[in-house]
Amino acid sequence: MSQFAIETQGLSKAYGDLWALRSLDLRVPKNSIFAFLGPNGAGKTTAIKLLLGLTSPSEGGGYIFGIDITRQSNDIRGRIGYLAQHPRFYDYMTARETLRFAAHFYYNGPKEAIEKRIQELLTLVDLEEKADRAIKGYSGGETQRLGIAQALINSPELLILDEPASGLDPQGREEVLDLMEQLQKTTTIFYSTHILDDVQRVSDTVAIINKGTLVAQAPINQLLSGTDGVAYVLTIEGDYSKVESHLKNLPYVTAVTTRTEDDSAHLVVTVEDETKAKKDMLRSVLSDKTVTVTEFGRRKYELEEVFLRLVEEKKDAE
Amino acid sequence: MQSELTPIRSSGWHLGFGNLVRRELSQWFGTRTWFTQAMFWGLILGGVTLMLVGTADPASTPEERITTGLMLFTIFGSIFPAIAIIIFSTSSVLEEKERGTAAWVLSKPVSRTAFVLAKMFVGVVSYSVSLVLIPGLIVFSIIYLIVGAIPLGSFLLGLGPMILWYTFVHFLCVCLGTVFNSVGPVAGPASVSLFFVNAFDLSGIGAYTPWTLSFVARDLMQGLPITSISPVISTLIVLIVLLLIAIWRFGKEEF
Repeated sequence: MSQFAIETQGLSKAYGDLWALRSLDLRVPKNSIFAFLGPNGAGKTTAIKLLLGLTSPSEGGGYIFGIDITRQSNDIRGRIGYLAQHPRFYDYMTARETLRFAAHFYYNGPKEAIEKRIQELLTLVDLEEKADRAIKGYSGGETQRLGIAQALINSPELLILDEPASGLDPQGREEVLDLMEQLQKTTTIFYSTHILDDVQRVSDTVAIINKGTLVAQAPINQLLSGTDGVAYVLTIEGDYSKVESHLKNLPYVTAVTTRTEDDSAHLVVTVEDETKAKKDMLRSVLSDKTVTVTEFGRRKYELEEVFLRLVEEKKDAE
Repeated sequence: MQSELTPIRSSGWHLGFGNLVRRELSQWFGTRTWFTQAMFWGLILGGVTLMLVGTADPASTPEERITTGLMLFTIFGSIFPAIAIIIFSTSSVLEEKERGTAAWVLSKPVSRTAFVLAKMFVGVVSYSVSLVLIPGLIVFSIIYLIVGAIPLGSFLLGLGPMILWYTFVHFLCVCLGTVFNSVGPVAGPASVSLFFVNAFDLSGIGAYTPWTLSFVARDLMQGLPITSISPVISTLIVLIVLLLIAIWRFGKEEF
C-alpha cells in the first residue's frame, strides 16, 4: 500500500502547441495538508482537472490511492471531495437541496442519515440560516462555504480544493484555513493556492509550480530552512565584536555574517555540524556576560523568498 | 451516524443515472414549467382547432371535419411546440457546459454516458407529457365536443409518432450541444428542420425521414391503416445514431 494519496508521473497537458502542464511528478503524502503553490496561470487548475478525470492528459498519468486517474476516474471520484476555484451549482436549488443532490451520488440512504449528514455540514459551514434559500441569492463567501460542504458530503479520504480561500474576506479566509486544519485529522488535503501566507500557515508539504513546470516539492520546514546550509540567527545587544570572533573560532562554524541595527547586532552563523551547534552555541555565547541575547534560533526563510528564489533558479537553469 | 449511511457500490455507464434523472425531472415537474407549457400549447393548438373545426363548412361531413382537425393538429403540433423544445434542449446542454454545473456534476462519481442519457430520457418524458399528451387531449376534447365520434385509443396511438418527432428534435439539439458551445450551430439545424415538416410526402425519400411522421400520426389517429412504417423505423435509427454521437462526443469533452 502506497504511503502517498496522490502520485503522478510525467503528467502533462497540451492545448495545441501550448503546454499548460509539463511532466508533473507529484507525491502527496497521506494525511498531509499539501499546498500546490503557483502564480495564476501556472497550471494548478489543469493539474487538478487531470487528477479528477475532467480532462485527459496529453502525456503521463497518475494514481490516487493506487487507482489509475485515466482509467478509473469514477472510482476515484467516489473517494474524494472537490471544490472548484469558482464553484457553480444549480442556482434554483437551495443549499439543502444541493447537498441532498450531491449526497445521492454517494449514498443510497437511509433518508434520515442523509438528512442528518446534510445538517451537520450546514452547521459546519455556518449556512443553517440560509439552508432553504435558493443559491442564486448567495454571496461569493456563502457559495464558497456551500462548495466546501458539498465537497465533504461523502467524508472523503482526499479533499482537493482549488484556491479555497481566494475571493474570501479575511474572516472567511481564516475560517477556511481553520477548517482545513480540523479536517487534516481524518483527510488528506491537496489544495492549490497563490496566497503564500496561507501556505505557510497551514501546510506541511508544498509543491511549487510555475509556467506548467514543477519547481520544487518538499516538506515546508525543509523549504523554509533554505538550501544553502544550516544557519542560526543570533540577535544580541552589547559589544558584539567579541562574540563574533568567538563564534568564528568555534570548530563547527563555517561563516559568520553580521548586520548592525540601532543597538542590536544580527549574526547569521553558518554551521557544518548542526547537532554540536544546537547543543553548544547558545551556551557558549551566554558565557560572555557583556552581551544580552535577545533572539536565537535556526534561520528560516519567508516562503515568498523561497518561492522567488526557486523560480529564479529554475529560470536561470533553462 | 455516518456508519448508517449506505454507500453506492455500483459502477459502469449508469453510475449516477437515477440521481440525474430525479434532478432533471424535478426541474420540469417540480416547478410550474410543465403545467405552463402544457396549458400554453393546449390553448394554442386547441384554439386553432376550435377556430377551424368549429367554423368549418356546415355542409361538410363529421369525418371531413375530423380529418381537417387532425391534419391541423399534426402539422401545427409538429412545428410550434418543437420551437419550445429547441429552446429548452439547447439551453439544457449549453448552459450546463457554460456555467460549470456539468463540470461540478462530473466531479462526482457520475458516468458521462449517464449524464447524456439522463438529458435524453427526461427530455422525452417531459415533452411527451407537457407538449404532446396534455395539448393532445385538449384538442381531442374539442373535436369530440364539436364533432363527436373520434376514437380515443386511435388518437392516443397517433400521439406516438408525434412523440417520436419531438424526440428527434430533442436528440438533435442535445447531440449538437455536446459538439458545439454556442446557440447558433445547436439550435440552427433543428430550427431549419422544422421547415421540412409536411414538405415531403410518403413517396420517395420522404418516407425515410422524420419529417413525414406527421402523416403516420394522422393515419393512426383516424384509425386508418398506416401508409408507411418507414418514417418510424428510419427515425429510430437516426435517434440511435444521434445518441451514440452524443455519448461519444461528451465522453471526449474537456472541462
